[in-house]
Amino acid sequence: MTSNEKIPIPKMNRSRWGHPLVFIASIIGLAGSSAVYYAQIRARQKARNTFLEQSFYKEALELTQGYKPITEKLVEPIQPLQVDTTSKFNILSPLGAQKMQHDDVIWSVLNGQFCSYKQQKSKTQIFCANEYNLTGLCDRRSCPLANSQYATVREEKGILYLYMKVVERSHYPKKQWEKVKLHESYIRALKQINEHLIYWPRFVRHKCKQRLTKLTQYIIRTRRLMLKKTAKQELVPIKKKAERRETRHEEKAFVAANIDRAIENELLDRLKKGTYGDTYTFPVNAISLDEEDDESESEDEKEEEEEGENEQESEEEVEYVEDFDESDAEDMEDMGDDDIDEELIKALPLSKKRPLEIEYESVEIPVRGAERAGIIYCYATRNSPDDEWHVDKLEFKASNQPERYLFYDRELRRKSK
Amino acid sequence: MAASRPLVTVYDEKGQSTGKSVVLPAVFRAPIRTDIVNFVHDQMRRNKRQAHAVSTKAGEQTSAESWGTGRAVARIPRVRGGGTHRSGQGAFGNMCRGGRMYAPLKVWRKWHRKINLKQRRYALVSAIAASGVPSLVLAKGHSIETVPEIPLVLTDKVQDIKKTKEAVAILRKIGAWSDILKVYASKHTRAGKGKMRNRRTVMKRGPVIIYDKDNGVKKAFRNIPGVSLLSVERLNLLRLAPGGHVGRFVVWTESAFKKLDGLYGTWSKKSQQKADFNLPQPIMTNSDLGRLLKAFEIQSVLRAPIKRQARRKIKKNPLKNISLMSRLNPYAAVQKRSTLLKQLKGRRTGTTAESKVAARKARTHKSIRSNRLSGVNLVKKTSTEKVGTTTKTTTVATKTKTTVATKSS
Repeated sequence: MTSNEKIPIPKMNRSRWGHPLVFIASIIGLAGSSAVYYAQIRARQKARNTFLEQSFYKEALELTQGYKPITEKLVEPIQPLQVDTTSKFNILSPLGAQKMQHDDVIWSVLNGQFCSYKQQKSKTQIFCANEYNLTGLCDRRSCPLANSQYATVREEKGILYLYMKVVERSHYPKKQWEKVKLHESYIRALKQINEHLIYWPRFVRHKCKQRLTKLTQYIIRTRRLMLKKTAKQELVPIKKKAERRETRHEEKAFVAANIDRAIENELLDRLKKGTYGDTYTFPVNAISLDEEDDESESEDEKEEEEEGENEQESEEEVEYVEDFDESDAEDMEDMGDDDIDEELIKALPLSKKRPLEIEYESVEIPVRGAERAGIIYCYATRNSPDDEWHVDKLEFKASNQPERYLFYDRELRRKSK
Repeated sequence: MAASRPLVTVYDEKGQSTGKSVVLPAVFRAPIRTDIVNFVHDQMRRNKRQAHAVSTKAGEQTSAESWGTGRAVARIPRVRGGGTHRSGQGAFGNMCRGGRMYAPLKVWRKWHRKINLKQRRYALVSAIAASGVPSLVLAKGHSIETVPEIPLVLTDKVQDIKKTKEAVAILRKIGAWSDILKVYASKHTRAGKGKMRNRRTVMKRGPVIIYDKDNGVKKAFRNIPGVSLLSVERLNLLRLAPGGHVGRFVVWTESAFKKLDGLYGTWSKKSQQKADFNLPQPIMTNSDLGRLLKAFEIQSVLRAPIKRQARRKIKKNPLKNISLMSRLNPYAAVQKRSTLLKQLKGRRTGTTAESKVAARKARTHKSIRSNRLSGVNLVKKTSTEKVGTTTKTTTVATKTKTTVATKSS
């Protein structure tokens, strides 16, 4: 509505409307919108000018004049953008501006092609062996490689740390992870996580807290277990293959060691030395221990000799074979049977290499009651040299028993009685 | 916006950063096409093969002839003659002992493959680009946690070293030694016949050193297990993407790094050393799909997501389903209720014989009364009474009706 009346100029905000005439013009509606438009531009210009005249701006300008542009640090200056019109590849910046690493690109490579951390041990679940992984699973959100902004909670020697990584440090592997020590108190640690990951994606934050919970429980458990006795014992796994191997080696070593022989020698040495004194009555000097002599003879010869000796002597001589069991060597009480000379032969393995020959005419074998009780002795007797050897067993009974000894062979028993 | 390319700091042989930095070559921005790399690698690998074949005479050096039918033997050719084990034995077939194999191997098999130049270059460019992404290098299996920067650029002094001891020292200082330790740990004897074919030990691949001028680098580094050496001019895909997988750990020398732009070009400027070659165009300028989909420009054009889908409704039978019935016919509920109440009434008073009789009596009385009132033909009534009653009944009838209604409601 055009009117000739003069409308009083109201109070206005200078900044908003600019020149007062603008306001009037707008109210009156003179010359439409174009006047307003140009007026506004002019207003803006003026504002800019006033800004430029300000002192603080001038100060800032002076400061920047002293600043050296980064290009001087370069080995070579950045080439100005050369638009090559000859080649058909003349496409400008937007392509060059493509970022180097996009999480999606990385994920498509890792998921599709190859990732060394990927563990597919079961058909249902794929795991991620990366030590910074939040969930332990291999998927888009949990992959520490495919997410440039990522955080984890990890435990080292009972202390929990929050690790964070951001895009800005993605190209500096050494400095990539920011390590924050979490508070010992669980609740405070939760608050810390909230603080540090305040504007982070909800997934990461939530999983960090879950992990914190799990780890604190784990630490509590570890501490409790350490106090137990079992913790002090170090558990070592049994390696089946090694065990099998070792037992077999042990067996072989045992056989090779010839413990029997070693004991034999030891005992005979002691006998010779005289450490046993008068305990044993058989003549020690008769015992031959020479290895050389024996080896020269063949086994057959020896046996013949022995047999021959046996036949020659009227009295019973027993091929006495020294053994580790001293019981047979010890004195035995005279049984009272003169006809039969009972000697002892222990049915024990002969040491073939060096059969010990002990020749003696009569042996008194005293028996001590209780010690001999229950032991069964094997012996051989014969009435005369022409007779055959008669092998029998003899058992000594305890002293409280009515009969001190018992022949197994009924005939002999009757005879003795 | 070539200026938007970042700067890469150069490190000296002690692992410290010199003040200098180089602009990242555009190669590192190339699209990473693992499919092309895989294909080209596969083809390239065949090119080092040596021909092998089976002797042409093998298994054919007999004059065997089939005995034909009627001899109670299989019809394969049999060796002629007699006096030896061999006579009468089968010959010539791949199933026969001492016969020739099926499809004897020939030397004229196609051993080598031609690969298109562009494909080759594309693959190489992708491999280089992938070597600049730390995640991909980690995924490949290299331990680069102690490396100061990826891509790793060292001063040109590295090209001049002559002693392996120095080379080892350099690798230690730049944090690449852990990768080489991994190589040591991975040494083992090959499984299979390769053992006796001069390929006895197998081990992981370590870092690759790319140099410009060999003033002794090659000899210094070549004895360190796992390390490969390449000249920038002659980059090899088989070394940059071993196994067909991208992301090998690369150590550049400064001059080599600077040469890359000239070799492969930037998009705005084609390659100077390769004839008519420029970096491959990516299909998407911005491949951050997640961000794109959340962007306003796209979201504003999409319709709202369908969170709850309307599924097929099962038709229910009103005769069985009371709620449905009452929706169709509201009075049905009323009716049902009244019947139920009636039933309940009877139940409450009990169903003894007496009560039943009484009930029946009441009913009959009621019926008689109602009939009388309504003018139904009753034997006892007279006609006059009837007339009188009919008039009455009309009025009464209405009454009864209402009473009935009130009773049932």
